[in-house]
Amino acid sequence: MQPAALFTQFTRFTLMEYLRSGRALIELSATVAMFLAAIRGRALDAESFFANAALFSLVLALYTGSTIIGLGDRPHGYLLVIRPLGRTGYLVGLYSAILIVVVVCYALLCLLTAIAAPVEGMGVRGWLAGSVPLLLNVALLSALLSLLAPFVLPPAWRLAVLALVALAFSSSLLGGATLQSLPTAAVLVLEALRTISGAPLMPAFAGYALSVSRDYSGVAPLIPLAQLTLTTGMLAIAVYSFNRRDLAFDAP
Amino acid sequence: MTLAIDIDQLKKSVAGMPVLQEFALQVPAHLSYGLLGPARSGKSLVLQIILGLVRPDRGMVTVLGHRVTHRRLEHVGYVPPRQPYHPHITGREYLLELGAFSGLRGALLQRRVDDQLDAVELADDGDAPIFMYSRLMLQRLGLAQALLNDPELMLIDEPLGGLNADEAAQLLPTLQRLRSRGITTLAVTRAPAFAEAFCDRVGILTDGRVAAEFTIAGLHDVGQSVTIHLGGLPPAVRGALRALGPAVRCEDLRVTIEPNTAELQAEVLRTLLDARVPILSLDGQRRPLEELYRRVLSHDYVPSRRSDPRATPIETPVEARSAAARARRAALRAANRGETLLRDLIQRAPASPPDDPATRDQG
Repeated sequence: MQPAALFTQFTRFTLMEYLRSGRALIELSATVAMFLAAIRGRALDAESFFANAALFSLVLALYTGSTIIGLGDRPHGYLLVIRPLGRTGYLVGLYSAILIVVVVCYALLCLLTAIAAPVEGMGVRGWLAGSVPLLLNVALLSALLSLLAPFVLPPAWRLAVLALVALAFSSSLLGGATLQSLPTAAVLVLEALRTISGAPLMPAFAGYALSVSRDYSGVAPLIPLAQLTLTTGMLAIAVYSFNRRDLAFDAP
Repeated sequence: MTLAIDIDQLKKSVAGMPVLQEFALQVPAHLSYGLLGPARSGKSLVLQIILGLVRPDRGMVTVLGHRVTHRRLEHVGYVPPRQPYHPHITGREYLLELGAFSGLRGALLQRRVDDQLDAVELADDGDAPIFMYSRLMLQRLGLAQALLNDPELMLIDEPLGGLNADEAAQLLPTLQRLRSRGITTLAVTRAPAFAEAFCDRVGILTDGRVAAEFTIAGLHDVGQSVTIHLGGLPPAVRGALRALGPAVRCEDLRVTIEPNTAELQAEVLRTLLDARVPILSLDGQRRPLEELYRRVLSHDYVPSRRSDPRATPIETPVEARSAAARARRAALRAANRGETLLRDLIQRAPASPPDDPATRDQG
């Protein structure tokens, strides 16, 4: 059996278990609630729709990713790892399952909007222009969650990655009055660290902005490429790390 | 002799603590090997290293003639310690999925799944969702999934773990049928009774290495013993019993014969009955492995392959299996002989109730 077929089968298997467990009802309910609370009856323009939908998709990816990664982090899951599926197929299969759930929910949100609360002046091209960077951000966040899975990175490395992400998001903190009281050298070091750690997140921020503005002029067409590259890189690191991790477990 | 598993100089630390040190293990093909050890001794870790789930720090692991690196193995079935599996699908669906992951398709997959459900006695429950399965059924499902790809080697982690005595007794015959298929098995367990009932050869893991190794045939051949519980034991009788030989050990209210033979047992019983000593019960063969296990764990046992007949070298696997079977039959016959003789002697002897004060006075 080809690796691609095995990986597809595993993705289907994970989704089947996810659906039957009833967990998918949470995503479906959240999607409907999002539509009812933030879209219906508000006569949103395209910018507002994508601003809301992008944030909603990221929050959904965070929840779904954590849940599906949790499903993968069970000893009986390793019965699949030792079969021809292997570790790479296992991790990429879980990742794909996360993506599929979030993409389906996003599609449902768009469908509800198109039927019940059409966004003025948004055609298929406009929808695609906003949806591509939005979904690439979902893919990027899902890759980050896969990298942070307990069976992928050791605890110390997970903490280090989380610290870098926190530092990248800490611009308001670094600009705050409290930190102004720190010695200049310390502030410089922190700002340098923030710049370094924030660099990998640039495609994500730019992708969000592109999704809202849908303005592909200048170098903007490179943004989805950067998002894709960062996603692939993160996933590759996750696969590499997972292939080197000890999967030891005890009897329950 | 073909080795299904050959491990040498294996070393593995977990969280900085050494768990396996200079660990060596050889399992001949078609043999049932039990790795016996206390909790946290590294038994499961050995299986996980064989499966490629865990990397050893050092050492060589060869399985079915191939060096184990960090990759999957074909023709190896693995039964993990009791798992909840995927609760929202049925047992049959689960096996169909896993069979497909092993490359099985169509009618062959269906047949293989049906066969394995039959083999583990789950055929009637195959279409029930796994969350409805009992502990015993989950263990049976674990066995079925391991058998799907027709393995040459089965690795079984705590086969009876979490089961009560009744459930364990029900699962044991299913496990024993694996032996008749000729599949090499390596079972890790904390239960000497299971190892004795299921395995041809047993290694005791302590301090990160196999500290002692026994063949079950050797244990049953020589190590059996009998304990006779008495209502009292007068000094004169005690002396007479001691005179029968060093194999007869007298304590307050019991006499132990070790090693036991039918002849010596008859002598002891005759002596007791002639002296009208009330016999309360005769316990057949003890579990010598359990005792050896305790001694090895308390470092009270020094293995000596030359001097200890219980540590007999193993013959070819088929011979070993038949030797084990012969030994079990012989042990059963000896125990039966003892009980028959006891009944016969009791019938011939004059009635003497155990709580007869006159008899007590003799003690």
